Amino acid sequence: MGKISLDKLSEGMIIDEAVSDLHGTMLLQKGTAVTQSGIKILKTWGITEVSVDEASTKQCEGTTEPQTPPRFIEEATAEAAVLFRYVNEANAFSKELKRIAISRIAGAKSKEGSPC
Amino acid sequence: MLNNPRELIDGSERLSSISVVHDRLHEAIFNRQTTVAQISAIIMQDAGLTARLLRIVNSAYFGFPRKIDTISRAVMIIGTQQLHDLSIATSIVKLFRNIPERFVSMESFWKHGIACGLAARVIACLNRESNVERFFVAGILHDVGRLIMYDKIPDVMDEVFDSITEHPAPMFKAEQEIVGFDHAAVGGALIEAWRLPGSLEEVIRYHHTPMLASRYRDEACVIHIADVVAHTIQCGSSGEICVPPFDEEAWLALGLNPGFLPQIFDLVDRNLDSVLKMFHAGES
Repeated sequence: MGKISLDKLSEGMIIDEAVSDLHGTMLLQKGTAVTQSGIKILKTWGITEVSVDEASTKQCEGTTEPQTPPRFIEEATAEAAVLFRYVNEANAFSKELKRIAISRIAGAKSKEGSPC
Repeated sequence: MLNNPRELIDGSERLSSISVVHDRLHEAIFNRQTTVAQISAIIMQDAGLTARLLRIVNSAYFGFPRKIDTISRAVMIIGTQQLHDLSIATSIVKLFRNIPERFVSMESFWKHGIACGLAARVIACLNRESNVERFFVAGILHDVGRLIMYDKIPDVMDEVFDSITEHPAPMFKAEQEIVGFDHAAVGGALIEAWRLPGSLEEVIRYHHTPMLASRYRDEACVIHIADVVAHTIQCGSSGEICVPPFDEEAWLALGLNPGFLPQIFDLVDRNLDSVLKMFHAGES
């Protein structure tokens, strides 16, 4: 069992802990298999992370990320290292920011565009 | 080395006041007996401002289902304070045009500001803050002090660039060392000289050190984080090309966790193009 952020959630994963909105209204029950409309509901209600069953996560892994050529990821990692040179990497925010930066830069490279 | 950021601002005719319209608007808003019709009349004295505001309220950024074709309707829907804030931002963007291009292009400079403003608005919305347009405005203007420095002390700023090329360091730290103070202090002094709201002054002054802000600490934290997000997006630049060092305390003070980040980026991505277009069109 582990909490994952919503952008890593994909169809077929099994919800491990019931998800409620701020007012306590149930959005998804424990044991539900995630669907596209389920993800949409969570986004609409501003949910940022959910607990999912780890075994179901492993099954879905590899199918979720669009294939980015490894050399783009390598280049993006090097560029992100420069971009974040002044940032203290010891905290969870900078780790997540750097992960997002690498995926954006690599994504832009595979589309032959700039990140912005 | 200079002693006080005010030295850069005093004696500059162009910067002494934004416009007569703003002074009158400001006064009218603080007077509780002013009517919507009176406020609209003040705005409409400035044809350029009227056009810019109508373009903004009709853009995808606000996403109103029907066209808003009069300033009085815009005032009623968005509110006087928020319309005032937006009009300040559009007027200041127009004010700076003749900055030496060797430092940064104006387009790139405002792109970074707008990306930061949008990120700030998104974070403020997620944080359930009221009057979110003030965050948008503070984000747009957060680096405005740097424009004054490029304009007034170009030679010293050349030294700053040379120094960070030779010994990589965050640009605001190099400014502190070589100039004596950084662009955040200059921006704060400018907002003060213009008699704009105190919250805006404090937020800009402390956007690199939000935990030092006293009255508007949460607002300063929002801009601090929005600046980091805008740098990560790599959309435009005010001179700094790396993500500035950030204070983890600022995130914790707002009750944000790293799980919010993808959502922030997603919302910024969805709106960035339309907001950039809105301002670009506003400059012509």
